[in-house]
Amino acid sequence: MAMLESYLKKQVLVLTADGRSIIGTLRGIDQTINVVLEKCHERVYSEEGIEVIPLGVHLIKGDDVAVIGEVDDELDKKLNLKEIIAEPMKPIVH
Amino acid sequence: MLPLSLLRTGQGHQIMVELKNGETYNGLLVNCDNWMNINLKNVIRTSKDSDKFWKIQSCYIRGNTIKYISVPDEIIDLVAEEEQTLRTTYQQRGDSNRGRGRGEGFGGRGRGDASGRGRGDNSFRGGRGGGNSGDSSSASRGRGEYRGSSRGGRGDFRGSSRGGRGANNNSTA
Amino acid sequence: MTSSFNPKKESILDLQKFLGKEICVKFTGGREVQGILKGYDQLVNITLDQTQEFIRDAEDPLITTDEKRFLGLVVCRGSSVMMVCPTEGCEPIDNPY
Repeated sequence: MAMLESYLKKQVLVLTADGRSIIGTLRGIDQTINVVLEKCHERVYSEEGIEVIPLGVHLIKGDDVAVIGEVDDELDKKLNLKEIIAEPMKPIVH
Repeated sequence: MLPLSLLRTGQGHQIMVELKNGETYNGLLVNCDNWMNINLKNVIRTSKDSDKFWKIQSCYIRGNTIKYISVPDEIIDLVAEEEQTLRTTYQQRGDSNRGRGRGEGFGGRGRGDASGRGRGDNSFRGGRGGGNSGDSSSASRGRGEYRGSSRGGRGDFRGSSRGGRGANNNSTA
Repeated sequence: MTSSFNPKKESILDLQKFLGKEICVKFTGGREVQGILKGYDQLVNITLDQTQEFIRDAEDPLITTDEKRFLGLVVCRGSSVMMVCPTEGCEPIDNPY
């Protein structure tokens, strides 16, 4: 928790249990790791480069959160998403 | 900002809920509770592959089947506003503001304290309490504070547990 | 707190108004039934009468077919109830988007 609170108001990447990656400003968390992201977008990986889907404000349930990481804004802006080709992640299988 | 405060503020607004099975529900959020169980009305349910659609007048969805919820952008500003008004209200109340402020604003965190970090906290506060307990006036001031927090919604959990500890301290002193 | 704040113990689901009416219940795991609401408790355990289960597609269990199976009087366990809605006013529609 304390670790995550240091990410508040910062740009974070959330990897979800179903294999999506969502990027946005971390606005809130609670003890079950429910997460509030503001101005967030999803990055969909495919053979045609990364597609960005704007999402707005999202509340992600803690059950669905696999990874939360801080994003280096400077570095992130330098990325050319259309040229990055990667396979989409698979969902977590229980 | 707690995720559940966001949801509570979102009551009366249009939201989109995706369930763990991939279905989505678009509708007006009627109400919600601490487990994120929600009631929606005027719902459009979309199947996992978004190839089938249903209209539902009203429905109840259990919180633990929710994957995520999308809320309108302006709700986040509303929450911020609400938090601000709460803060100013407490400041106007003077002395009691500290105890109450904690009780309300960080209700969720208070719980976290009690369950997650419970042990560490206990011993720490206990130590402090012991120091105070010689001085009866400061002990009673402490009491006043718990009352404040216990009135602040979820605070009753904290309030009672601290109250208990306070009583212990007094008896040992 | 706001007036809409829910006391912890009470369910926000008001099943009272559905008593004697036909409701549709979805379960975690994908089963879906409809029946007449006979009773419930605060854990959302539900008793249904004249219950019918919607049979699902053998290949894709997420799809419900028109086929039904008659179950009669059943008790639904609250912990596996995923969604509850009245059957009245619930209908398939064309793509609204």
